[in-house]
Amino acid sequence: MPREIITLQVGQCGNQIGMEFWKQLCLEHGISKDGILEDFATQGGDRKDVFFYQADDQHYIPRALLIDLEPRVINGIQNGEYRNLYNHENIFLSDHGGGAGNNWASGYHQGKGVEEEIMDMIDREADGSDSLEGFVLCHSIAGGTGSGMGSYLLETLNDRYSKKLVQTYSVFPNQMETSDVVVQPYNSLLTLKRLTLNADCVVVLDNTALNRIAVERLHLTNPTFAQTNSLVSTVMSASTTTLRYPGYMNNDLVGLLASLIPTPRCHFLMTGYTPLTVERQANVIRKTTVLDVMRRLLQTKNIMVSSYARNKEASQAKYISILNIIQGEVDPTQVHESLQRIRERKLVNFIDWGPASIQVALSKKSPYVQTSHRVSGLMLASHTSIRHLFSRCLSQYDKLRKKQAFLDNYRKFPMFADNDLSEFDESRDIIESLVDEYKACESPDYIKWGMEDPGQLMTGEGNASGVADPKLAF
Amino acid sequence: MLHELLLALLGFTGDLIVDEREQRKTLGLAFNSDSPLSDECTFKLAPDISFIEPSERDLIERLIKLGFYYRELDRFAKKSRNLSWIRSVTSVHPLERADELSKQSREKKPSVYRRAIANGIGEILSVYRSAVLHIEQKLLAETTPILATVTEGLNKFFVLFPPLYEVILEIERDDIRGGQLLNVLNKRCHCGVPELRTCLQRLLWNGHQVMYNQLAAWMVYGILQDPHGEFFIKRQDDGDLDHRSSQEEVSEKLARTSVHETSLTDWHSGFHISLDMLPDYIPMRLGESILFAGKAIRVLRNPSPAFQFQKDKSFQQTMRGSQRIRGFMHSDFPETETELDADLTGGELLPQSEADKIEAMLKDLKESSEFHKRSFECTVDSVRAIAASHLWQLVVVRADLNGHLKALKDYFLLEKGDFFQCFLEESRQLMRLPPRQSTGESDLMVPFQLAATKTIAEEDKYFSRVSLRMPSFGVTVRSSQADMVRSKVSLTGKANLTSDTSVDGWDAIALEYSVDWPMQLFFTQEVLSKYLKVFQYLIRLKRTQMELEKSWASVMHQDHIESAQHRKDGLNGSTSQQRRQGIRPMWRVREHMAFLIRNLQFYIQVDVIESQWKVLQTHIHDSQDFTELVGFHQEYLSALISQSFLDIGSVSRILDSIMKLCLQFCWNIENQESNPNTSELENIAEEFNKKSNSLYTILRSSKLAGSQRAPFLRRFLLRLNFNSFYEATARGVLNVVRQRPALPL
Repeated sequence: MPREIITLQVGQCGNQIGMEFWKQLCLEHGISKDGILEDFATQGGDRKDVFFYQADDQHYIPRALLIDLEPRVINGIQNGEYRNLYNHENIFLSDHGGGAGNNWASGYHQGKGVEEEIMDMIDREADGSDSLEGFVLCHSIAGGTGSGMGSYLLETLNDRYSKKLVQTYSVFPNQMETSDVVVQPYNSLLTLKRLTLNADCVVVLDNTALNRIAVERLHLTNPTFAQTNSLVSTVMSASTTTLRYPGYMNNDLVGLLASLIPTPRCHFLMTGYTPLTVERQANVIRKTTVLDVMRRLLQTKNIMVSSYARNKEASQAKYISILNIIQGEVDPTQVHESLQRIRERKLVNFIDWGPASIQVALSKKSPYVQTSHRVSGLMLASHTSIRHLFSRCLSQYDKLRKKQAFLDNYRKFPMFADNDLSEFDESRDIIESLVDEYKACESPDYIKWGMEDPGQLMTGEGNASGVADPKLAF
Repeated sequence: MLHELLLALLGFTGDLIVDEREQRKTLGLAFNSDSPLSDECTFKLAPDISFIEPSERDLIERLIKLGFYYRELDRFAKKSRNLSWIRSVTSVHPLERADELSKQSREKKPSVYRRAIANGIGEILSVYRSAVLHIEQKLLAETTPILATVTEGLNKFFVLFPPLYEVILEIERDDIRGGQLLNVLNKRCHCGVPELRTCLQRLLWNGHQVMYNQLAAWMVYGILQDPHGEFFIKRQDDGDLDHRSSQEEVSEKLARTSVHETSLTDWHSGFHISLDMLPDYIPMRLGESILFAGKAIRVLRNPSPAFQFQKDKSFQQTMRGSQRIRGFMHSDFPETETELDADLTGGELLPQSEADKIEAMLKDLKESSEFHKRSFECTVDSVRAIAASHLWQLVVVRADLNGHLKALKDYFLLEKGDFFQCFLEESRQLMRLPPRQSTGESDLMVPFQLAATKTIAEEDKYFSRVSLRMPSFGVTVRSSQADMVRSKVSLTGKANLTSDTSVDGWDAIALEYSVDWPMQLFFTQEVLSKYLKVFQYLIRLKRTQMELEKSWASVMHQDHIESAQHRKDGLNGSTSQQRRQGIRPMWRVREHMAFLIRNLQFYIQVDVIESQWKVLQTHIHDSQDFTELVGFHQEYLSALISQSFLDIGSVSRILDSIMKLCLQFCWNIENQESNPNTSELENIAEEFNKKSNSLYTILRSSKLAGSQRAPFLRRFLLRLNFNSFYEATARGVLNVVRQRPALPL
């Protein structure tokens, strides 16, 4: 039972995608809605124990904590058909059930208040595992609970489980349409700081891109949350296949992440998946080759992060690392050919300052899930264009901040009491430096970046941000 | 006078016709009766007879030569057909028998072939005798010129006897036996005299009868029926054993409890082709086919008792297993196999009908009067095919070859990555210290078992066959073998790493895989040692990779801890920022190392193992023949070794030292987490850069590019140099933009 992973799903969005994720995992491992192994699921060869544990009564129970400050989604799960799957002791709902009001500060503050209770749950789960590898956090960065409380949990996990890895699946808000959460830029910025400092790896799930994919690729006019969430669960389950169906390599989270993250801060990953289908689509078995899959994975339209880059910048964007997890009946000799073709046609633009290549991991496919495709592929990639997403967050924040809009809601909480907004400024600095680092990655001189004058980085940021006073509060 | 002559023609001399030799002997001349036969006819008409005309004398002297030849041939036939040795052997006590045998062997070894030939000669002689008789009757009935009639009647024997005599002379003189005898006869068959040819062919036929009998025993029953060591297939034993009678051998075999063990050694080294006894007109290839067929039949006829028992017990399982194989191969095997499975009783691995078929084929051959090379070849080939396909069935279907191959891939080629990961994780602390001579192996057993319970449990029925060995230095044979590899590497590697070589002792970790009958036929010690070689290489790679990942995680944690402290203390982050910048080069080196190791692993796993595995699977699927199968598996293994560069000294040496550097690097970082010894790390980094550059240069060098390995090298190179970073670095190091002949990458 090695390398267990505990999943924390925080907030509305976190619980929704978490639930989809568990549904998918149950399907793939042949576990029924009640957590009992189906009769047909006898083939073995999979590792259920990474994500599930077995209770005395042969129930497979997800190593998951369901945490929310308002009861709606979790009640839905508790009344839904998967209600018997989860361990009910692992569900946390705040007593008041009033949520966090889409306020990061509220979520963070409430998180502090219930720290004991949640940590007890986490400790119990950790005790129940043999060699805990790390945590996976599912949340959105825009709302109140997932972002605020999620941020608090990230920090606490860092303190308490400093040797464990923390990976997050973070849903970024849809920035194309006006959100009902006006303070979204504030929340995003504050969460991004924690994601940068406290997480080992962040898988960015951009709602904008998910919607676009649903519309363009799946031809849904008005994609529902359930439909975009099924995309998310596909990505989540695919990105964990090498952990659940062990093969030669990438059998643990460390191996998976270390191969993707060459520098500590640049740990934001994009994902791409092909072929994308929704269940209703006609069941035509398509012949897909490895090359097809690998080529499509490099196309921006299949990538679940929107690129806000202007053309010129887009052409400069570079891949820092790529891992393709390919499932299904693959002719292994095709892998080499595909790599060769991709290199010949220059389909992929890599960094110049270090060695980089497309790593291809072949993985087994669940024998219990029938798909219409022989081969499917997931790409996990670190790509410098992700900085434009952060830049956009920054600019939206700047707009709001300039107007000093909605700050009162935050001042109510201790962190921002007495008009102490340094947290905002510090977060902004950190995100800005992150953007800079990604930008530096695009040039061959990245190696020298920040080397000549270590202090220059900080001051440079200070100047660029154009905000002078927050420094004093430090 | 007439009778004197006729008797002389039948080899009896008298007063009129004398044997010069005997005469000389009676005269007391020194003449040993055992002395070599003279080439010359020694029958002479007594010189003191004066009433015969010189012309008649010539005629008679010519005629009585036949008598001489007859006598000699008859003597040869009688001697060769003498069966007294059998009686003597059976009646005498075993102990004395040995004496007897040795005595006999000192004199002259009996030969079955020679006896067969003698029988043939006997036939001819009887024809001659009846011719003489016929002449006598004719002469007695009517008065005809005596000499003319005799000459007329025996004329054709003038063509036959002298060459025959030459043959037996040659046989006697050179003590020709077995296959060689056939060879001599066959050569003599090529002559222009039709009578002589048919006569010799008859003799050859007689000889072949013996060979066919032996072949039948060998290829139908798997028994070597060759009391005098004349068959061209020989047991690989000491000379004495050759003399034992075959029945003796068989009964002895049956008496042994561990039949299967002997049958397995039989398979690998028990029999060989004796070139002396292989007639020239049977090509080596055919000989090998015969050898194989017989060995296969032997195996099929003597299944291990354990195997049969197991069969009955796990019948269901096998059924499932074979079905799985079938499913795996996407095609259905003939249904007969399942039926065979159903009525499986011991020894029915080779159905009687098949044995009968082989026997019938040999019988057909036996009956044809002439030796047709083509039909002989055809028969041998078809027998071989039958044997091979049954052996194939035994190995692939019954003994679940695919399962074993998969298990070997799982464990020796590290496909069960989670298991080895767990094992290395558990044994990590242990492996930081040099292995202890005496307890190294038992120390490792703990993490090994732990890993097994954690990752495999009872899921894999093959796991019980795998065992871990930690050869203590140079004690066992196996370990010395492993150490030899190691010492070679360390010799060529670095000399100044003496302090670390002891820690490298762990690289000698070995796996053993126990195979049941009849899988030893397939997984020989040699095959397994090849697997082991790959395993040791892969596990080293895996260890290095894990260490690099560990150091990644620890630096990542360091980063978090600092940011947490920073958060708590509210300190200005510039110091940690500074530190972050300080360790940046280390990150880079680590990443380069990890990149190289990772890509090498991906290359070996995907481009080499998986690709070759696929090839092997298709071969196994298409083939129905055991020998082919062994060949394919050999190809698979050698492809694994050569494509992972284990046999290119320059590349494997560099990779070896790179792995060492990586480990050193990681340990250094770990030991000095708080305060890294930068100068040493820099040394390592520099060394690593040098090595990785030279690796790239070697891989690109025209010497290797021209070789037949070029395609594999290029595959690895493609992964390594995907974004042309290595190329650029190599140029930077060389500081010259050399115009290389562009390799098509």
